[in-house]
Amino acid sequence: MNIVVCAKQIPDPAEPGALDPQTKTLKRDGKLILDESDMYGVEMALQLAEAAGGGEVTLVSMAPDNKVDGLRSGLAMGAAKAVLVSDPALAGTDALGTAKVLAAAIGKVDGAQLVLTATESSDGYTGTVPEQIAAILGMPSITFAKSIEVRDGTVYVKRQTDAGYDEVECPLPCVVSVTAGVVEPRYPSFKGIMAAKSKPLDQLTLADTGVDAGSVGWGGGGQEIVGIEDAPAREAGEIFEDDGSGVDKIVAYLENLKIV
Amino acid sequence: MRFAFTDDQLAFAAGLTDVLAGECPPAVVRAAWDDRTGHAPSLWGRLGELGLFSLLVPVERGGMGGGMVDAVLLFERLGAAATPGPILEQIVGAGLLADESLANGSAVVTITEDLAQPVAHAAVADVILTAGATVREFATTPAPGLDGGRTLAVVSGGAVSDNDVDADTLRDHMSLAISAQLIGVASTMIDQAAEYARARHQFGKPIGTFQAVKHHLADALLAVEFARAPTWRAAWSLDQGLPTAPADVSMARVLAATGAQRAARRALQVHGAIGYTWECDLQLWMKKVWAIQAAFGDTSWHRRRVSSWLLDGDGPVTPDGVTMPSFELLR
Repeated sequence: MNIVVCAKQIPDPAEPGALDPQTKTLKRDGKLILDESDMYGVEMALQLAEAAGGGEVTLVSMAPDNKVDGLRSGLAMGAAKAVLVSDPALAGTDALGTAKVLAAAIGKVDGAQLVLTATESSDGYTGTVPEQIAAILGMPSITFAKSIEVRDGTVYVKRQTDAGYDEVECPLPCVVSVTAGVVEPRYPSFKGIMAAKSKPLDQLTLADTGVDAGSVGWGGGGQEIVGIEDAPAREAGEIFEDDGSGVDKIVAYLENLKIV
Repeated sequence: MRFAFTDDQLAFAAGLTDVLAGECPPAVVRAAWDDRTGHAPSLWGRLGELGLFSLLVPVERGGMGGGMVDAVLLFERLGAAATPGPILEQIVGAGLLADESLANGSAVVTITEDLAQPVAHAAVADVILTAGATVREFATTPAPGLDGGRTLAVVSGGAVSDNDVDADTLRDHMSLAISAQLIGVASTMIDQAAEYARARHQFGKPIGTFQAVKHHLADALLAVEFARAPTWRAAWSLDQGLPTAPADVSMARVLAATGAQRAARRALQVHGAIGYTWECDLQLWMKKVWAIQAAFGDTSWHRRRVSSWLLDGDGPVTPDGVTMPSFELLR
């Protein structure tokens, strides 16, 4: 079974992030790494391909400046090949434009039956790209998968909900977004790190994808970031004098947060 | 000529750093102390999957065919995490014995120069490597030791087989590994002390703003940085089989050991009384420095080897193989 994993390359969260005052977006000119939330998808894909008795895992990514370090990490984990779309015209592309580009890149992967994504990226957090990709590709989509099995051309998913999980099934091909707990990502072995350098990594431009240049980039989104401001400073907490009703107040507070 | 670590070597070091960050936090080091094994089997399994133990094993024996230059950054990272268990011994021993069960981590090896003395990690080892002899199926009796991540045991009995590892090779390879490990251990202690100096306030400001504290940390960092390049060089000399290799290894070892000693003392000084306590992680790293000081030649032995190489008739020998005038002639 051939599986595509959408793999976002993001600035290292361990480094302090910065916003570009000109573009009002995250600076991405430094080294990019594989988004940790996508490692779960890569691991799940590797396990599903193995369980299916074979098949290739292909990483698909869109990143500036032909950055490939994050993709190499995914290849070192065991993915067979990667497709990167990188083009100066893609700077400023919004979530829908990104989905168009990724869907076009996925379309170039032979025999892709299952597309895995994270629920959302760790730097942008729009959480909309997986469903947009599914809609563009005309595939069904399942979100928030906490476990995935594939049997006889059907994918069986336990879908995380607030209260527990739903059991969902869907015929292949389809798009599934996986939560962080779905599997434990493996560490790339030394041999995997060495092998990753020689695995195929196709680099495409916007023109190669066939996506209309007018629907991506700064102008294509139909949206504009008009201002960025620091988050307001955290306010002091509420202090109650415990007159015997303290427990009730704590319970009510936690209930409000849906913790109890 | 590009005289620097390759992308692969740096990627291995980064990969190992990730594994150790996830799998070998101080809690894991403490657990290995607390259960008195000085060993973390789960971490061991992870490091085996990584391929760490096969690094120095020849390719034809299922290994990666690497050398000490490939390993030196990894030894440093293992030291930085105060990794418990005979991991340096496993990497070096698997390479010297070219053994597949050691390369994949299914068997555990430790290394000693003297079976009559308590042997580090013997209680968790399947195999003990000494110069000329490999021992299996031995019995162990725990002996008191300083570093809970490196337990000692008296070894008795065992089935002995010959090997072709000579004493100098064993001492040089382990000394180099320990030099790099000490640099890693020292780096973490400096980080811990610097972090403490930022967090601990006195007279209304962080103690790290006081010049005397800064100087302590700067001195320690200087000593450790001073040891790093000679250690890398010694790894290169060993891999190249240069006649200077024994002296280069001893030079590295002297600098790494004195640097780590200084880092331990200064880190303790910066921490103040809390640095002595069991709860403070610093002690786990400090005791490792003290425990491995004397293994495979103590600092004075290595210093004497450098001095005899410099001053005696046999040397020094340049990398080109030209013998320089001896000390006697110079005098």
